[in-house]
Amino acid sequence: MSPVLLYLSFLLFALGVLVVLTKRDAIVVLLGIELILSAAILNAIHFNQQFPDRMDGQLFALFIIVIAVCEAVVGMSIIIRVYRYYHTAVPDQINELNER
Amino acid sequence: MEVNGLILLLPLAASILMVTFPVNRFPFGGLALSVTLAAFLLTWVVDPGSLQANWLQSGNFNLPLLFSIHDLRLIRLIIGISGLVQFYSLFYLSSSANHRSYFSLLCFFTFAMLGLATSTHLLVTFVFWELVGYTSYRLIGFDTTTSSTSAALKALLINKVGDVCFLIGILMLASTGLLSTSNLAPGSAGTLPLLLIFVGVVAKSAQAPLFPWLTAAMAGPTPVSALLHSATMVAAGVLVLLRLVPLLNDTVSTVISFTGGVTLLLGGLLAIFSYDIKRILAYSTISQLGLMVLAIGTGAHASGYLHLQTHAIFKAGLFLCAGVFIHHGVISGHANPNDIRHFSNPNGWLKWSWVILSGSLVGLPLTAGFLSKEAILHDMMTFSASLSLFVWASIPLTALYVGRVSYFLVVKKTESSPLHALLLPALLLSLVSVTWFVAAITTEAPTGWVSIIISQTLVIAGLFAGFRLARISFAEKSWHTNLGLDGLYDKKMPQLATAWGRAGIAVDRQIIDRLVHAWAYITVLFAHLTSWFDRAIVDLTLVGGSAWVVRFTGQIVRVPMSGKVQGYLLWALFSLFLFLVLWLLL
Repeated sequence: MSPVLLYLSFLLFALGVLVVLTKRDAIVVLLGIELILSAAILNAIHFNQQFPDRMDGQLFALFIIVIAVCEAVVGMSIIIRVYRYYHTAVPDQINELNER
Repeated sequence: MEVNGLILLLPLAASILMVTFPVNRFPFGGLALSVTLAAFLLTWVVDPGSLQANWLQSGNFNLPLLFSIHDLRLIRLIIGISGLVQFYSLFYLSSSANHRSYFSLLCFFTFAMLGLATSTHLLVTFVFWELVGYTSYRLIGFDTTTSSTSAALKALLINKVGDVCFLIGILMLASTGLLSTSNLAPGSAGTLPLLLIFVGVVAKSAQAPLFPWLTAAMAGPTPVSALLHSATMVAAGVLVLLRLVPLLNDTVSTVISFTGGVTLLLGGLLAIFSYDIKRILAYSTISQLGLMVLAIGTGAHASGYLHLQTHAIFKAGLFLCAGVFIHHGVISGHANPNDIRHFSNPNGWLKWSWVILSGSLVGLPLTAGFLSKEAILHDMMTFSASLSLFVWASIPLTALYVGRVSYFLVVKKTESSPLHALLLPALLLSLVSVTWFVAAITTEAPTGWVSIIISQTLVIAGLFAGFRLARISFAEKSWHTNLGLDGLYDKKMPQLATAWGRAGIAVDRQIIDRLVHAWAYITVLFAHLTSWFDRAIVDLTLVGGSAWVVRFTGQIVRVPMSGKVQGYLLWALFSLFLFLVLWLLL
């Protein structure tokens, strides 16, 4: 069992967190979340190698990919709505909750 | 009952009407006279009874306006003499005088005097007492010359001494609940309140030693002297004294008797030495008031009251006669119209009315004065033989000064001027005096033939001595006027007051001011201390400190609350990391 996959998933996770925390644009933040999910998928596959007779990790990875797609769709649609409403997709500039 | 109130209110209404009347040229005298006449006629319509109305009611305190319209003779006397004096004033006052204020004051006086004579509640009496004093003050100073103004002020101030004592006495009586004079229980009041009230009586009725204001009051017009300062107002003190008769105890009675007795003789004595007709009559009034006070103090209050009424008639008449002489003198252009040596008699009728009225003053038969004087003499002999010595001494004394004045007025030659309207009131009053005698001699005849004979002998002897005395002329000495008390009241009292004021200033400057300054210094010192405490402890430490603490915490707490989503996310991750570390370590 080589820890290469773990390092890779750590790298992805760290990059994802960094993107989520530092990027101002919500779309890029969404990309960061995708990176974090990728790290999670890698982890699921990696830890499933300890139990070769079972397929739980792989199945879970497939579910996560599906959920990630759904999440991306929902997220993108929210961002588009927000953009239409506020004319920006930068969360820091959205500081009003009341109607215009 | 309504009619009863009307008697009081008519003169008041007339007075107010005259003051507020819009037209200056109006027969004010005629208006006053007709109103007084109406009130006089009303006295035959009234049904005697008491008049009551509530004035003030507050808790337990109740001040009723109580009037007793019982003694119609006194009421008729007051209104009648007022009316006669008003009639007389019509001809006596010069046309340039302020008729509006004069007649409104006379009407107001009638109202106040009636109120004083009929009210049976001491506080209400005091109100009218003050009103009467006020009209007196206004009328003495009616001429607005310097001398009459200062005389008015003197009368007011001396009376005020008595008024204040009177008020204190009333208030002391009030604490024992004895204000309504209709239900006084004998001996239930202390000595001091009665003595204080008596001081008021002394001032108002011009008893020794507070009599000098009455001679000064002669500066007023003669009709005013006739009405206020001989017949009615000065009798107010005696009236009040009569109300309090049931309360008198031995000490008070003795004080009253001796004050009255001394005044009786003093007034008679001083009347001998004066050449001013009004002053002589003023002294005579003082003396006769002393007689009344003496009679009341001794217990002969019924006869004292009788003398009050007869005295009102003959003294008003005498003043009105004197007014005719003075008026005649003024017209003839005498420099000193009041001096009896310059008098000339304008009319024979005046002589006869003077004779009758002065006969009433000394108590000769056929006059009302005979009834009251002999009644007093008889009663005094019964009650206290020693005090009646005062009266015995006063009889020849009175006759002496009356004889002396009468010599100048009557024995001289008579001019035959036509009968002037000025003579009518005096003639009417002498007629009343005689009629009274005729009407009452059968019912109220004095008893005790011996004392009557002796007193009549004394009177006649005194009169003849007076005729002799009139031929001796002497210079007036300072003590002849008011026994030198004028110097005491006019100079010593102001000096005393000034000295008292100076002492007050010294005390103020030396003690009070220094105390104030010291206190101010202490206050400023204390203020500095408190301000330092305020600034250093309260402002800087407590207020500033707590503000600093709040601001500091706020600054720290504010840091994670950036309002940015990613910031919150960072903090969430950070705390997750912390929990992880903790989980790994523990």
